[in-house]
Amino acid sequence: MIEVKSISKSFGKIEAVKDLSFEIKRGEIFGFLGPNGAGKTTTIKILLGILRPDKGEIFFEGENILKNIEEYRKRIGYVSQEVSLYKDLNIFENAEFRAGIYGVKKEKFLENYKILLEKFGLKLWEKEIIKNLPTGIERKASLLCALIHNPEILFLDEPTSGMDPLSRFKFFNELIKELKEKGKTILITTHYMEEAEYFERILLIHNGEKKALDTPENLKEVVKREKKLEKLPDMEEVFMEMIK
Amino acid sequence: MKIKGIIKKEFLHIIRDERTLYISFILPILLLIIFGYAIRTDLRNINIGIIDYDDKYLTKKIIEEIKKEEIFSKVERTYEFYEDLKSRKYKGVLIFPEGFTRKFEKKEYAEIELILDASDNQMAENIEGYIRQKIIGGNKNLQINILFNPEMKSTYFIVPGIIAIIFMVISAILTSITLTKEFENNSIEIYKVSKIKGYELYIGKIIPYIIIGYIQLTLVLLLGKILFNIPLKGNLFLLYFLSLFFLFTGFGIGITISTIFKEGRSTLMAVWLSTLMPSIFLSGFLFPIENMPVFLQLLTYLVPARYFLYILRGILLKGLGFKDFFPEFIALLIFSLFLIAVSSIRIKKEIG
Amino acid sequence: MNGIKAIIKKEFIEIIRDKRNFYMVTIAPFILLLLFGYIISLDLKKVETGYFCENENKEIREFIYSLTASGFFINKGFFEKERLIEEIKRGNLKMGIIFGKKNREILFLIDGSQGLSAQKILGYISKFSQNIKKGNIEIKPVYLFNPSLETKNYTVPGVFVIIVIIISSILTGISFTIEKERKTIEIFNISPLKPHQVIIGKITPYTVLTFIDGILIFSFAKIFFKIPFKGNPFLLILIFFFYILIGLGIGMLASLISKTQRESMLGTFLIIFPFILLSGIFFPIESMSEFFRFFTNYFNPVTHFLICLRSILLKGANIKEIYFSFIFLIIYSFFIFTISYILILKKLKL
Repeated sequence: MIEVKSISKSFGKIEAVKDLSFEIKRGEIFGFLGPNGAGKTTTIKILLGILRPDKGEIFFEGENILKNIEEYRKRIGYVSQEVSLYKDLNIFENAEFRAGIYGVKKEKFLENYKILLEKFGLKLWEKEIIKNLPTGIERKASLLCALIHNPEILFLDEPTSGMDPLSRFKFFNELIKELKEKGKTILITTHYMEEAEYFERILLIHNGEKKALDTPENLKEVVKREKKLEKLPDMEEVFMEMIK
Repeated sequence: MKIKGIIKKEFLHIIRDERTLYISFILPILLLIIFGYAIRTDLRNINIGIIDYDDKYLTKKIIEEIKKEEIFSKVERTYEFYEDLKSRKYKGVLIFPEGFTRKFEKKEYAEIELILDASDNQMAENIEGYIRQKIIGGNKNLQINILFNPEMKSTYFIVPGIIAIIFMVISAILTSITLTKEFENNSIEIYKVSKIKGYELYIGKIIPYIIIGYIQLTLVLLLGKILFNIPLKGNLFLLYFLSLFFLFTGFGIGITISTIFKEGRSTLMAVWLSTLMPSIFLSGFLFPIENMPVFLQLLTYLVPARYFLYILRGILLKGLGFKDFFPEFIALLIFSLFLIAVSSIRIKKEIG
Repeated sequence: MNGIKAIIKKEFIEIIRDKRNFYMVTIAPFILLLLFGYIISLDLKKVETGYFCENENKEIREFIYSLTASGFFINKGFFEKERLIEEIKRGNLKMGIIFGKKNREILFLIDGSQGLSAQKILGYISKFSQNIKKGNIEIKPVYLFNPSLETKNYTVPGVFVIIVIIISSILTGISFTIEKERKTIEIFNISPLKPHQVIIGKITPYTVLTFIDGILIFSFAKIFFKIPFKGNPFLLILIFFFYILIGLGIGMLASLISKTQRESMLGTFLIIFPFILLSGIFFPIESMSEFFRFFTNYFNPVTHFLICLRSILLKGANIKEIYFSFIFLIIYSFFIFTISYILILKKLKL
C-alpha cells in the first residue's frame, strides 16, 4: 500500500534518517520500534508529507504522494505525541471541525461520530470542554478526531507513552484490534520494546538506519539461532543484538 | 550564596534571549532616535497658497515677506482654494481682495483673508500666528524669554520622558516576563522545594535589572548629551540615587501582577496597562497634566512616573536640588515602599 | 469551502469561550477611547501667570486686566523678582511677566521644560499681542472644516485609528500563535487544506469581529464626542475594511515569526508602536526629519487611514481627493497578505 524508497533526511549535520526503505501492506499493524531519537518521528513526518525528504520517494498505491498530496491526506489519519485538540472546544466541536476541514459531509460525519463515540465510551464526556478532561479521555478523544474522516491508514506516534499498563493492554487488545477488523492499516511508533508482541511486522531503527524488518517471531528466531540460545529471547534482547 | 545563584541564572537568561537583549539595549537607542529626530513640534515644511486679486506692489511685497519665512516650504499662487485645502495641497490660502492696496494707502482697514484647513486645528492656529506676525509685525515692546529651554527643543523634555519609559519597561515588563516564565515552565517549584527565602528570590530577580537599568540610564544620558546636547545641570549622583526608588515601583507592580495571573499574555497586558500606558500618557511626558480634566488629574497622582519625571526634568534641565522636590521624593518613597511590601508578601506566599 | 467554514466556526467558538478576548474587544477599547480622547484633545486652558514690577501704575494694571480678559491667562498676583523665577522653576507658575522701568518694556518668562505647553503659551501671547496693537492691515481668518477649532475633532479620529490597529493585529496574532503554542497547528499541517483556505478561515472571524467592533467604537465616539460626519459612509466603510486587513496582516506576520503568545504580542507592539507614534496623530508629519517623513508617507498605513478618515469626516472628501491614501492602503493590504501567504506556505506545507 505504501512503499518507502530509500529516503534520507538530515537537519544540519545530524542525519536523522539514512537511506530507509520499507513497505506497509494493506490491513496490517506495522510497528516502528526504536529508542528516543532514532528517527521515528522524522520518518512519520515524511510519511505524512509535512517534511520533504532530502533523497528518496514515497509511493501510495503506486503514486508518489507529493503528486496529489491533498487526496493522499484525505486518506490518512494521524495522532501525534502531544494531544492536538482545541482546549476551549468540546469533543463534538473538535470532531465537527476536523470533519469540516476534511470535507466530510454533515450526515456522514454525524453517523460516523455516533459510532465512534459509542466505541470509545466517550458519551459521558461529549459536551465537556477539552481542558477539563482527564488525560486518558483526552487521548481517546484525539484518536476519535483522527478517525472522523474515515482514513484508510492511521499513523499513531507514541500513542501509549504515559499510559498505565492496564490502559496499554486495553489499547492494543480492544481498540487496535477492532480497527484492524474494520480493515484499517495501522502504523504505530513506540520505544517500549515489550509492545512488539502486538505488531504483525516490526521495523527496528537506530540512529536513522534500518536494523531489521520482519515479524516479531522471525526476529526472535533469528537471534535465537545466531546466539544459540535455549529459548526465544524477548524483544529487548533482540533489539540489543540487532544494533550491534 | 543563594542570591548569587539566582542572579547568575537570571543574567544567563538575559544574555541567551535575544529579545531581552534587544529590549535592554536597542530599544532605548531606537526610542531616543525616533523621539529625538522624528518628533518635532516646531512647524516646518508648510505649503501655502495665495490668491491675489489686487496684484499691486504692496501685495507683492507682502508675498515676498511670507516667502522668506522659514516654516513655509512652498508659497505659490493658486486660483481655487476650497479644492486645494480639501485635497491637502495647502494648509492655508491667503486671499488679497481687490482694492487692498488702495485701502491701505487711504489708511482704511485693509483686510486679508486667511483660509485655513482647521481639521488640524492646532496647526491652523500656529500658522495663523506666524502669518500675523509676519504681516502685521510683532509688538516691539514685548520680549519673550523661554526659560530652561530657550530654543524650545522638544528633545529637552522628551529625553527625561524616555528614561522614565525605559525604566518602566525594564523594571515592570522584564521582571514580569521572567517571573511568568517560571510559572509557565513550572520552574517555580524549584524555589518551593529549595530552602530559599522570599527575599532572596526577590533580590536575586531584581538585581540584574537594576544593573541593566543603570547601564541604560547612562547610555541615554550620554547619547542625549552627544546627539541632542541635553543640559545636565543638577547633581547626577542624586539622579542615580532617586532612580532606584522609581525602579522599585516598577518591580513591585511587575512582580505583583505576575503572581496574580501566572500566565504570559494576561500579565503582559495588565503590566502594559498599569505601567507603560500611564507613564506615557498620564505622567506629563507628552501631554501637560494641567490640561486634563479633574478626574484624570487626580488619577495622575497615582502614577509614580509623574513624580519621577518632575524630579528628572528638575535635575537635568533646571538644576533643582533635593529640597526643591522633597514632596515628590516622599511620594515616590511611599509608592516604592508600599509596592515592595505588597510584592514581597505575594512572592512569599507563592514559594511558601 | 467546507473547510473554510469549519475553521470559521471553530474560531468563533474559541473567541467566545476566551474571556480575555471579550475584554479586549469590549471594555478595553472604550476605556482607551475615553481616556485618550480626553487626554490628547484638551487645549491648554489656563496659564498661571505671576508678575513683577518696580512700581505699579495704571498702565500696568490695564495691561494685566486685558491679559486676563483674553481668557488664556490666570492672574496669580505680584511677586518679588527672585521669588517669581523660583516659582516658575518649581512649576507653580507657567509664566512670569516682568515690567521694565519706563518705556513699557515687557519681558515674558515661560517655562520651556514642561512638554508642549511652552509652544501653546507662545501662541496665546502672539494672539494677545495682536489685539493690543493698532494698525490698518487686518487678517481675517476662516477656519475651514472645523470652524470652532475643536481639538477633539482632530484627535478622536486619531485615537480610533490607534485602537482599531491594536485590536485587529493583537487578536489575530494571538489566534495564530495559540495554535503553535498548543501544537494544534499540526492539524492544519496534515489536513488536505490549501494555505489560502487556512488563511481565509482564520482571518474571516477576526475581520468580522474587528469590523463590527470598530463600527461600535466609532459610533460611540461619534455620539459621545460629537464628531461631524460630512462624507460618504460607504466610502469610509470600504477604506476601513482594507485598514482592518492591514491590521490583521501585521498580527499574522508577527505571529508567524514568533513562537509564543507573549512573543507575538511584543512583536506586534514593536511593529505598530512606531507606526502609531509617527502617524501624525501626536506630532505633525511636516515637522519630522526628512527620513521619517519619507517613512511615514510611504510605509505607514496608520497615517494614510487617518488622512482618509479625517478627510471624509471633517472635509466630506470624495475618493478623488484621497486617491493616493486609498490606493496606498489597498496595495499595502495586498502586499502584507502576499508576504504572510508566502510565509505560511513555507511553514505550513512543504
